[in-house]
Amino acid sequence: MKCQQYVFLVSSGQLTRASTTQKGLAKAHYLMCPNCRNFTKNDALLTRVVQAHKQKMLDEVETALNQDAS
Amino acid sequence: MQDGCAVNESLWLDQRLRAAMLRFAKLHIQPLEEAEDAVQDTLLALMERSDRLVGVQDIKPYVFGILKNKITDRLRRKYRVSEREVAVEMDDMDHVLFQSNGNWVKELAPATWNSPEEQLNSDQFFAVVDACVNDLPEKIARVFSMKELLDCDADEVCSILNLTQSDYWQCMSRARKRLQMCLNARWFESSSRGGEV
Repeated sequence: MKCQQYVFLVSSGQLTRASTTQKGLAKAHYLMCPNCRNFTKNDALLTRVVQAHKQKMLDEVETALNQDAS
Repeated sequence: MQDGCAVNESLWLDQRLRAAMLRFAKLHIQPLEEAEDAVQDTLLALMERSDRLVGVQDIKPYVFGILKNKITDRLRRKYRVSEREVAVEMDDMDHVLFQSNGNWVKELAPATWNSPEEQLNSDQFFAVVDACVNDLPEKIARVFSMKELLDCDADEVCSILNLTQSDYWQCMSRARKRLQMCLNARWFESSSRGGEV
């Protein structure tokens, strides 16, 4: 498996639906490639960042609602 | 929203509330006028259901649920009648990030992001996140935001936007790669590269 294929599997979300063989190949690539390990860690953090971004936007809605109520 | 919950006609005039909802709706619906219509629909629904909100301690999930439904209803109507969108073209980011043999271009290989917890408390950081999300190409942004911000699952996104599963995966991959590169360029590269390289 090449970096380009690995990154597609991780970033698309396809890895969760991949076959056992594909998952094994991806795991092997992860262990041998430091660049793809970095990409994977950043991708996981990106999920947290986007969720936090969403919460901030919803907090703005909530704050506006609360001000309206007070 | 405690103590009797003042969800009433004044909501209609609350510019701050409209702006906060519009900021969220714009990520999913274009043009702006249509996003504004979705916000108006949400405000109307909130006013109609105001009696049910009396005593509700956490209003946020309720409002989010209504806003999500109003947005997805509009998207479903829009894409149900249109022809299936053309398949996503080849990922231009891949030509930049990877060599012809599929390995990373050395200069663009990612480093791990520094001090992630610290970033999550920074308003400046989220301004950059906002800019990066808003810079995504329209179709990619629509798929990404439905999945990550509206909490729709993959099948729901494909059904509403009339996409194939393959198109969905392409869009999600392009969005996540672009966002990672954008945050690298606009935020993390300014700090020293850390982690494994």
